[in-house]
Amino acid sequence: MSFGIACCSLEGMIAASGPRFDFDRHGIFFRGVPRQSDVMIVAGTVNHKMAKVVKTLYDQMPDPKYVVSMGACSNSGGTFREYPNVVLGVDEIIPVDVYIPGCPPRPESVQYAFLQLREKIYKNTEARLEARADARK
Amino acid sequence: MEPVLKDFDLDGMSVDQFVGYDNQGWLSKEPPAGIPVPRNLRRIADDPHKMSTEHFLLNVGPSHPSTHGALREILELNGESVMSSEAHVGYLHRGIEKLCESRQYTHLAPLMDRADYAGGILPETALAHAVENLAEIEVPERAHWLRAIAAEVNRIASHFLWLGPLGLDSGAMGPFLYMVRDREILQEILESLTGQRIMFNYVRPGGVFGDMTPDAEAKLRKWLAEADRRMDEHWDILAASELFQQRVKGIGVVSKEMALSMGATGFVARASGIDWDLRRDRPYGPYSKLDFDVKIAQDGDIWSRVVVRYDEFRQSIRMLRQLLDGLPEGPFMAKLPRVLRVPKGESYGYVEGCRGEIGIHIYSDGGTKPYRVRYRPPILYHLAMADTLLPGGMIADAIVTLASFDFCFGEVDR
Amino acid sequence: MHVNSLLEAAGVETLSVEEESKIGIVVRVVPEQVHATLLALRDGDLSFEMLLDTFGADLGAETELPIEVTYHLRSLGNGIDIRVKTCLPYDGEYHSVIDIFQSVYLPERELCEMFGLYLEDHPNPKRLLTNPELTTPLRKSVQLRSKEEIWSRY
Repeated sequence: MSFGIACCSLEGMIAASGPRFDFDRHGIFFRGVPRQSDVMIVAGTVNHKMAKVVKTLYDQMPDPKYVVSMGACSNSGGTFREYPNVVLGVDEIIPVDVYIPGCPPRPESVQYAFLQLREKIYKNTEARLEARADARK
Repeated sequence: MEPVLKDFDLDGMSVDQFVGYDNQGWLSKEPPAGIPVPRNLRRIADDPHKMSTEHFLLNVGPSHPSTHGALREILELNGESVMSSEAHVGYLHRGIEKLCESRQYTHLAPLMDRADYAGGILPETALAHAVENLAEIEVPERAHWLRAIAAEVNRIASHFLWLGPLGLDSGAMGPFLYMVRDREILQEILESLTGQRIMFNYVRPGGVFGDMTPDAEAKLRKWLAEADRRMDEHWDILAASELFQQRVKGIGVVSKEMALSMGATGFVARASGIDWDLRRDRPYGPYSKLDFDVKIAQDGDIWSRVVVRYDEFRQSIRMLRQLLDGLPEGPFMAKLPRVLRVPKGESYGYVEGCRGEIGIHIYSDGGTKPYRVRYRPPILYHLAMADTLLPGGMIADAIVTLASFDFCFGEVDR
Repeated sequence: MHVNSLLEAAGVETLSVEEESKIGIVVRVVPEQVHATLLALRDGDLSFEMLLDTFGADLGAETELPIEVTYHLRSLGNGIDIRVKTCLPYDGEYHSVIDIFQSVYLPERELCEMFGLYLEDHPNPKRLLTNPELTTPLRKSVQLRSKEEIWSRY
């Protein structure tokens, strides 16, 4: 689910899903609702008013779910970290799997992040299957 | 709160209590006399003989698929028609005006970029005008022309960003992909010129950051050679189609009186019959030497805005050809001290932004950091019109109306 | 001067009218005269039809009336800009001018929220941009986050 709040949404959602850096060829496409999605990309600054919304949307996603934090603002506050209204990073609210640095990150970085996410899921799956095979012996 | 349960009491609830947005207090000393409460919110009776319709509060929430940004619109619906609407903003409030007070003048440009993130050069130019006005800095001629080139390319890119979601909101998925293709080319041009794709830290008080590279010039000329044909293609895809025209004609009408009293500037004012374009009436930089037209439409509906904006595309292309051919030689940055110290006073810098007039009002107390920076957001005034425009139409019209104003929430919330 | 004579003919007392070079004509009035001034400017023969901007500034706690509210008006026919300024105390009462120009609907809410004024005569006097925990952010007394606070996040 593309949760485009601010400037990063222009690169991460619009450019990365356009014809040049295409998301469809990886098998990733954007849904409007959290109830049908697996991955949430948080792109943009999160402040106290938006934090409640982010948490609600995260809770509405079904398991297994993953979160990709895109851009400096959602990693750790970014350019606006000094303002008291800004949450210092979205990982104060929800657990994050992949962080993408940049302000804004290039669309290639976002695609690389998805490839890293895939590897992470693969490793977790392998570990789980190994543990199950060991338990069966 | 679960309003669908039968024992939930709806009578006497205000909008804020219903949607769970506890406002906790009013800004006035006492709550106002007539608190806006939607009418006719009542339970459907259990007895099927006494059934009647009731109004329904729909929360078009801060995250919706039409990518306008973080706008929460609370619509009171009777079936499909909108009875009243209220806009809640502030989901992107990052305190740009307050943060400006803690940075030096040359470090303010990135903050201005992020205010209007779709067109970043234009707020930076407004800031540069304000600082130059106050400190009386002489900007070289080449810098003015380079600023104008970057501004016009950025204007076209920003208008493309409006066009795609407008197509999406009115049901056409195709124009979005064509838009992204063309915007990529423009972002490449801006990247060769400034070094970044969207947050250019390019226009500084005193000039610009870097000179025009031969790479950028070649790419720009190549694009200009086929730009008119591409614009014809964009017109044919979206605006020339009968379905789109029937969808947007006569809807979201902003009359001239309403535009004047609500402070509309830019393309919204021009679509309602107000003849005012800052590039022509108060020219800054090279615009007094350029030859371009300004289109005025009289109706004020969505179709007029679409037509005015398409014309802005073509005029920008025309201006870019003249700007490239007439670029003067010389330095691109004035000789300034490392840390800029600005004399005491106030000044105002304005620019014809992508969405209206961007004005930056600076109060200075004679130091190296500004005392107060006010960014006049053109869209805040357009958003206030939505509360009057949306009621009376259908919800589908409401979505297209909101898309036609070209919201960019970095500006509204700053 | 034309603006001066216009305002005097409408019976408005101004504190000063000056032609500053950097921002144009500035008219300073006391808060009680704001309504009459804006009405005179809108309906007079210079016809300032558009109120472009309404904002405030905190001049510091040492000044007697620290919050300065500015209205930026424009006359499209004559191409003149004028600014009307008043000064208000902290936690003072601010009376809305929405019956003259509707463009102040959202900016006034933001102004009173950011500087801590009481908003009267407004149809919807609610907070616009912030949650109630953050009070009056644009006053000079409210500090930004310090470096230690930011680094303690890690």
